[in-house]
Amino acid sequence: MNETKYILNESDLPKSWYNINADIPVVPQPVLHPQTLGPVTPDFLAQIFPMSLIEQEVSTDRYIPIPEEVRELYKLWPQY
Amino acid sequence: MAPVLKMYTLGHDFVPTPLHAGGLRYHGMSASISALYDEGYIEVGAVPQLGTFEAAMTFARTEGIIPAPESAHVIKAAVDEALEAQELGEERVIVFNLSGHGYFDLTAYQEYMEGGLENYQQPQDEIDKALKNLPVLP
Repeated sequence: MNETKYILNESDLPKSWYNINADIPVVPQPVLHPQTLGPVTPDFLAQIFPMSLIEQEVSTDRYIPIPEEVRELYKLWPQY
Repeated sequence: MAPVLKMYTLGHDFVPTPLHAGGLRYHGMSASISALYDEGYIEVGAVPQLGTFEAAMTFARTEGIIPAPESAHVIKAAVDEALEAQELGEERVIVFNLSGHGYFDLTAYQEYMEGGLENYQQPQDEIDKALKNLPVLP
């Protein structure tokens, strides 16, 4: 019988997220302030988003390490 | 107030019809996808919900995975690509991203199987009405 299912171990959970900004062939447009319509500062975004997410948003690193706490939560996901 | 991002949009006043496209009913498209389309790197398409559910059922029966209705739109697109290749006698490598499972969408599947879903085309005048309220940005 042919094998059709490949179940990965929890240790095979990805350790990084891939960031398309490293490879995308277009220049990312700046995020604008809703009132001035000029580029926002990290301070403005910090009112809405945690700083680590802001850093991810502007990063051009190809891979962004997944925090261990998040990988722990990924383990809860059932495998469909 | 939320930050402003350049994207294709129907405007924040747009009220989507309650189709089973779930998360696809947002009035805009992600900034990265919008930019890739704007500069001609990608093509985009639309598929109706009946064909989408038909493709989802085929996928569930052949692969044993119930796809989310959102994800099933791309399955439908992949099926159409494969059928076109078959018709033209071409060999194509077709890759698609199954972005989520449909275990929270079984009511929608039931509705589809009971014949309760229909295709829907957003009337142009409603699109025009929503676009009219778009602010002019530099």
